[in-house]
Amino acid sequence: MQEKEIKVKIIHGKSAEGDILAYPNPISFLGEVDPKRGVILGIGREELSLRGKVLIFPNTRGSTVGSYVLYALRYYGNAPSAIVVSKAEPILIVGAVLADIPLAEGVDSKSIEEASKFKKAVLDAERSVLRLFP
Amino acid sequence: MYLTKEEEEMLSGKYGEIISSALKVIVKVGESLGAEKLVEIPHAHVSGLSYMTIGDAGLTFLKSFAERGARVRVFSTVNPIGMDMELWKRMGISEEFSKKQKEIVEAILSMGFEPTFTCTPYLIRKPLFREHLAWGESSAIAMANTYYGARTNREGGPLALMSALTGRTYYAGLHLDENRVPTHELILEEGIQLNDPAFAGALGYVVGEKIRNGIPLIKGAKMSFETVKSYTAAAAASGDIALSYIEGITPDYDWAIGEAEHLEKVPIEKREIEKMISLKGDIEVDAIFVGCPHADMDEVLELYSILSKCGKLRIPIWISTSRSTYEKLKELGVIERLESIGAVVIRDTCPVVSPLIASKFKSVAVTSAKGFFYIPKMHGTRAVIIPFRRIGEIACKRRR
Repeated sequence: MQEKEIKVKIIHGKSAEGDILAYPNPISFLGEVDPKRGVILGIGREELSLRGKVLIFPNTRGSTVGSYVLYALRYYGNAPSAIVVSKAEPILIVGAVLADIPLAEGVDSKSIEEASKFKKAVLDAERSVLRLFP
Repeated sequence: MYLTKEEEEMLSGKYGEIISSALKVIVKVGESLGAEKLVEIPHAHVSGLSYMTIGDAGLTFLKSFAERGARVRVFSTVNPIGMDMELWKRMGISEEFSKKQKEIVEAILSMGFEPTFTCTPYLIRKPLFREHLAWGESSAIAMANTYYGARTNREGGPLALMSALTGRTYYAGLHLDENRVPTHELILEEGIQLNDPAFAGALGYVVGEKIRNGIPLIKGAKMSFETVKSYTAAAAASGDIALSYIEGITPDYDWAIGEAEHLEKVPIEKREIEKMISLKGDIEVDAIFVGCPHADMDEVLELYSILSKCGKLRIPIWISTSRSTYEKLKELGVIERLESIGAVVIRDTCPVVSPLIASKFKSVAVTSAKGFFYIPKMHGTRAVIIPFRRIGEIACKRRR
């Protein structure tokens, strides 16, 4: 499989990299993420670790308390290394800036599905691209 | 985005890392919403401070910000918390909950917030016409926009907190004239009564469900402070209605009429309102709740005059209010008198954001359509709406 580049819009932060966690559904950080343990309850209810990952998913939903959950992930040393979404809403922007997690938007649902087949990602803030590596 | 020299300095860290990070949050959200600049605000109101809703994540955040020396930059008030700071034991609140809630309170007070703990911040500081605000709490936002003609978006707790720390909000959404033009006109069927907060709340509930997201205009309805308060709270709960134009109430109603080009007509039938309210005198519930949004002086005094005609209550009445109203009522001897007949007055909290209802009651009657919307969802408790002016008939012991 070839390396792939996706054009994104950087909303916050510097370049970052990590293993890919591509999640097909919207995420409510309040309720679905446990910041103390750094896990998200995945489909089929298995727990997926967020720590150091490049988290790629469509969008956030639910309570504004979600911003606090992102901050708590950083506080407990469990923050993802970057977050890439289709469209960033205020709840996510607030949380990402407060927790200083690099944030970008602009991936469509097809790229999210595709990203799940790659292993590692680099969010390049200078060039505004998300690079996927097998 | 255009920033003033002071804002540039705030962002660059001249006033410390907290201010810098708080302003960055507002700038980034503003940019994503297309704001060209920031505006100064004289009053921030922060919601989301009940341990029941924000949990350990919120507590962690607030404590960490407080420890890093965060301080409010403008007059800032706070929403109700999960318990009465004094009567929490009587509310059935656990030691563990109360400990965590007190830690939240300690953190926010150390940042310089006024200890208001009310969802009616407009009674603490009256918003001025066309003034820019950054408020959380959907019912207060809708009152600021609708009753006072001030301008605030619906801010989530964290974003309103950032505005409190910086005295700024982003200039987008409801801060701009172009986003305040009415979109719908309510056509009320003849005979709809709006003189009781319960009926006005039912109207708000129906409007929120029908319009969801829009700016309704109401011609020729006779409404008061109390009924507008109930209407706006419900419309902001069942829908996303942050602004309505009410003839004779909203200060820039005439401007709105002039701006409106096409208003979608929304008929409201009398039956739709009436079916939401229980008119039976003999309903059986574990308690009656008054004060969502927080009951003000007039409301409690009217209730007091209704109840003073009956002896002991058949069904206990719980009244939630702000601590500032509570103090005034206490001086008048009203609290003592209400307690003697079996009513309970609680402050700093309300049935929606406290674990009280779930722990104590299986079914409740409320005078608030907002309460009716949230109580079953948050606590699994059955709720019915009753008219405010009929509480006496329902709650008092019958004389035979």
